Amino acid sequence: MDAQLKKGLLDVCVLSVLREGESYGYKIITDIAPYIAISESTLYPILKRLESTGAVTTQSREFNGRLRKYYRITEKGRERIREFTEDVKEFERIYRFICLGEEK
Amino acid sequence: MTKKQWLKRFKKKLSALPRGEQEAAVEYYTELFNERIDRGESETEIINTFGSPEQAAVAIACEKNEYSKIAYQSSGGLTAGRFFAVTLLFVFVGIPVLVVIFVLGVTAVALLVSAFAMIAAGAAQALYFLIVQLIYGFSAGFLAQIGIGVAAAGLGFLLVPLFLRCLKWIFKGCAKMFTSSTRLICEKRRA
Repeated sequence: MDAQLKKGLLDVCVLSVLREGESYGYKIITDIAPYIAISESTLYPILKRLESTGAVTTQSREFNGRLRKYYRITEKGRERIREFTEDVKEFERIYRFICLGEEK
Repeated sequence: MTKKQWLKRFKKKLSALPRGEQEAAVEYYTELFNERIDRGESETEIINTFGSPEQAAVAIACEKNEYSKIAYQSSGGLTAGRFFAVTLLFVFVGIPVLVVIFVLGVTAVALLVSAFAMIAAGAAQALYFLIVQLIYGFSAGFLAQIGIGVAAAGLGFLLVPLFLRCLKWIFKGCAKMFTSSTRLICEKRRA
């Protein structure tokens, strides 16, 4: 898959996981892994980017005697998912045009 | 390799990034290590999936467009402009900092030596006037001189730990000054 396309998809995948409720690094990876390949080093910049753009907020809480960083989606993050689904509808039309010739 | 060694090498490789970024990245990987250890994975298994600390650091830095900063560690080459800037920095920052560090170091050592000298001088004076008193008989003046000698030696003993502490502070300060100025020059070199 194209690297740029995958990057954009991964951002939305992370947001989709968080839409179900707050989560943390390890769980985000295991939730996404069945659908799209993601590594620890790939997730880190995604989380940082989402945090810096205000799509997620973070909170560190104690768990089993150590700190665990939780990520929570914001309204801006939800908006990003909505934008993505709109984009996909457009992609579908283009896909049909390219592959099936339905638009002709 | 152990978790500790992996994280240490990882942090070292990120040294070109701001301290806050380094700490955040190390915290992130520490948390992932702990999560997987809690689920029964061994450190070796985890490290096998993480890859080398260098790869992890480069992957993070690449995403942050900081690749050049890390890649620089294994590459070389200075342009004329950067060479000029680095030379200027070395002349106007590096050399004065080195001079200040040298002067502070000499001062710190001199302080400690002065405390020992005070002990030696005080003890010598007390001993000298003790001998004089034994030879020429008791005199209030000689006794006072012995007292002054003992007091000076005592003060010297009190000053040694204080000056030792000063020496430690000064050396620590010098190390910090050296590190920051080196970082400043190196960052300019990479920029």
